[in-house]
Amino acid sequence: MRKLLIVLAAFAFTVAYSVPAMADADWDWYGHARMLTFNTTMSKEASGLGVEDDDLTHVLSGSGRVGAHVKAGDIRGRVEVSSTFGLRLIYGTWEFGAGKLIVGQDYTPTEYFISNMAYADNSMVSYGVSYAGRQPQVKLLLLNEALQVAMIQTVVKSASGLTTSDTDTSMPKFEVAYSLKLGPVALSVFGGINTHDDVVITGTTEKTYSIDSNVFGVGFKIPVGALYVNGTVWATQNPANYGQLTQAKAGNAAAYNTTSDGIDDAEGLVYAVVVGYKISDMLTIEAAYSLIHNEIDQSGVTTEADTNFMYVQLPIMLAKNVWITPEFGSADFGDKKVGATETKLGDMTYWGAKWEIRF
Amino acid sequence: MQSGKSGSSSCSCLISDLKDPGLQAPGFLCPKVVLSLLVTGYSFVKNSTLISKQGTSNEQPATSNEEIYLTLMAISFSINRMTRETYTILGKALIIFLLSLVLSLPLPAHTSNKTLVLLPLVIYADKPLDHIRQGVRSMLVSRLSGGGFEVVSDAGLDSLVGEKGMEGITSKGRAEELAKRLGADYAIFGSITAIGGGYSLDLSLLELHKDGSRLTRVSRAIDEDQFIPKLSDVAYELRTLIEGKETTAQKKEERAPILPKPERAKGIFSKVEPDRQGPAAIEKGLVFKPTREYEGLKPTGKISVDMAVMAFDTGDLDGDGQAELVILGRKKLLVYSKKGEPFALRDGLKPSFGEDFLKVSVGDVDNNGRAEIYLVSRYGVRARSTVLEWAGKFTRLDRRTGHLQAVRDPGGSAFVLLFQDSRVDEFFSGRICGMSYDKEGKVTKRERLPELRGVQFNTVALFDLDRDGDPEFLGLGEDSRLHVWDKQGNTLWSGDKRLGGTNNAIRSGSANPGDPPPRIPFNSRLLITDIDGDGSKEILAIKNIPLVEHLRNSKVFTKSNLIAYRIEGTRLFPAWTTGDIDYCLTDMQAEGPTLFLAAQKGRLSNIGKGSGLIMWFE
Repeated sequence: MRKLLIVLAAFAFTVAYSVPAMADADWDWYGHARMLTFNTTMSKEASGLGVEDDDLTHVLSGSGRVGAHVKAGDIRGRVEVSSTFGLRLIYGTWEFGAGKLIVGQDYTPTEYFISNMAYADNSMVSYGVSYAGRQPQVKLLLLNEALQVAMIQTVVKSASGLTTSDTDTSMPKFEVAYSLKLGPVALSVFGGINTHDDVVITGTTEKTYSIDSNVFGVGFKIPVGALYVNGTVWATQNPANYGQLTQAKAGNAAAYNTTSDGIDDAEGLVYAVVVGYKISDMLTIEAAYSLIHNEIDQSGVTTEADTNFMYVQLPIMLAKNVWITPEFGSADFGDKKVGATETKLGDMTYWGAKWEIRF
Repeated sequence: MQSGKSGSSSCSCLISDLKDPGLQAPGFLCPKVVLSLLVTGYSFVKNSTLISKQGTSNEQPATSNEEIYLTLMAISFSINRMTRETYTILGKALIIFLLSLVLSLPLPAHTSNKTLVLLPLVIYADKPLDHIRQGVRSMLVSRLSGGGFEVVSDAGLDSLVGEKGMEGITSKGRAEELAKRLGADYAIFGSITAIGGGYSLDLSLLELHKDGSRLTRVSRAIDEDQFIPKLSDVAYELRTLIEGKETTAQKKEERAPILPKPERAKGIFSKVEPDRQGPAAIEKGLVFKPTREYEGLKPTGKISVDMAVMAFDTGDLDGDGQAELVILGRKKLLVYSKKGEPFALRDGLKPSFGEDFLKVSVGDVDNNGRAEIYLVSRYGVRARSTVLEWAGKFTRLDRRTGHLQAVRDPGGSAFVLLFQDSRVDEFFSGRICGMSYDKEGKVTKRERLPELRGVQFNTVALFDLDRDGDPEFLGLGEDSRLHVWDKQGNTLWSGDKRLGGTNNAIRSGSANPGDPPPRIPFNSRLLITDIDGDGSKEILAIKNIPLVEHLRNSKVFTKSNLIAYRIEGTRLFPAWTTGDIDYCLTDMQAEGPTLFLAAQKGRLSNIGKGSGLIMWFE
């Protein structure tokens, strides 16, 4: 402990002594006001009501935001809150020559966004892209920011079916991503691992279960003139325990196995591709398709489900910083297979538009 | 603590394994752990070697990138195969590595400044010239302070030299004694002699060492109306002596001995006075009083075009000895020539489908007597450059991905052709290269320029500021501040205030979800031209003024200033400025004595083509 304090004190002293005067900081403010107007139709299987359900939502988007970029010499910072004033981002950046050190809450290296999906304003989160939220972290950007290495706050989510007395963590979540450009192609490879222990105490006996989760994947972007093709493929173990936001039509979290007195891991595999064409400065057309596969094997019985998703949109820039994005989309949740038994999960279709003004 | 088996699949390590007494021995690693570490370590070493090779090579072989990619996949794979213990060890190693990295990083130079004492100067004159004494002191202090120099304050000096000493020090012994008592590394002392309408400035620089001192004399005869620029030269010479550089005094003496008295420059400029007030003060109108010369922006001539002007340039395209004017909008390139008195439209070019024009420059880089047009456009998410010739009609000579720009060498009539690559998510990518034409007439890469940190490619200019035979690089760098870099890429000088700013920008590159892609501005070139007719070149820069300063997405530039910087060694000082011009200025060029400006009205609307103006001043 004393050694740790000495190291931390040395670190703090080093940083404090290196920071230039902050008197001349520049603040650049921004805001995005967004409304979502969508009509959603859920099939009787998907609605959970036993009948088809049709709803119009006309709401303020939770992804609206207000924020600021701050610059003061080699130190930069950013703060951003949502339209309901929840904290989205707060981080500082120190550029030290060989790279950048980022401290605070930010997007993580395994996030790879390829889409401008308007429905729910979520950019294909849970419908195809790897995303585990904006997280507290210490991140290093090296090799001209091509290499990202981050130590992230550990996600602690216990295995389903296990009554835990305690949880132990010994390491932060660890993520790394490397991006490179090969001519007209941009490639990225990313991965991350997260672990914690679920502890069950019975009397004076303590039993520990390790809950390990990870994500590994690649992404690409290929522009050809006004056409662009983006894609990503990623695999995950226990995505819910990792913090990944994905479809969970079959199990997507580690589960306690009473027979083996152990943990069964859920697996996931996701493919997504987006194709777009910029017709003019004011008009773009974009379409996307994704396949999300969930699977878990418990006591020899496999539970699995596939979700197929697609959308097509036509973003229109009415004026500088004024956008309307009409979109039509559909998700087919397929069948949930438990052993030899299949249950139809239904589908969802939607149409509508996102309205946005940036300032 | 008793632990049970977790029953996890192969990806999860059994806790009981970790609790095995044998495995808990300090420093013990199981073979699987050792293998993983070796694979990871080897990958990193191989990776580092490749990266270092890339860093020293002019060419970047694709295979290196692929190998890095494969190596990283190997790392990812080995991570995936790691046991929990390996993960724990690597994690701890990472923490130690990060802390070591931070602790071992070079700190910003907190080295002690060189201290200099400026002793009172003796005045020899038939009338009191205390204002000259004070003025010279003030000017020398301002020119010698900063950049590693600290001038001892008057307060510390007054108490030491006494009332008599304040009338001036000319003795080397007394100067040395005072300098030692003040703990200074250098002392400057001497005299100013007023004779007729001129002055003789006789200064001595005393350098103190542990084992003695060294004296260097600097003397100048100065006309009254050249007092300030000549004093600046002397200050620069003293500075170079202290820094141990070769003095350029001799070269400076080669300049025109009698300079015209600069009062007006191209009709729209007025002096920045007094005391080198910077542009910020000028903008606020605190110091700078508008003069009749620039109250109205009255150009010698102008051309209105039905498009927002992205860029323009001038050059003799057809080899007839007269310069043509090439004007660029997002969807049109126009060629004007001056066969009679007014400029007349001769030809036009439209982009291909999906292409937007961004920048244009003109220069006879291949030395065939006809200037080429270097046209940069956005094609998809990357920049594409097309080299054209025009002699009544357009002929395409070359086309490549990236940015090409012809830059005038202000020291002569030659042109320098610069190139910067463009990649997915990096519209401006990598180091800037020099280009030239080979024997077959093909544009080929030459040497890479040094890394000019944060430089905006379109603003790069070359000029031998300190007249040592090697040109320095100028341009807008980080935070859009004017920078001077040496040929190694070290920053020699940077301005305090942001310059540039333009409505000509695109959004391109990767962004966080819901965020707009990064804004990529296309600022005007810098001009190196003699604004005031004194025989010395000034650096001319545009500063556009936004309607609202601190709104990131709604920054529309509606007004502007031009600021001309006087060159003193490798430092620049604002010398001339215009008042507020009611346009956003997007580009400028000088052709002989004529200054051309491109202007547009800033607007929020995206509908319509916009309108622009080319105006010139003689």
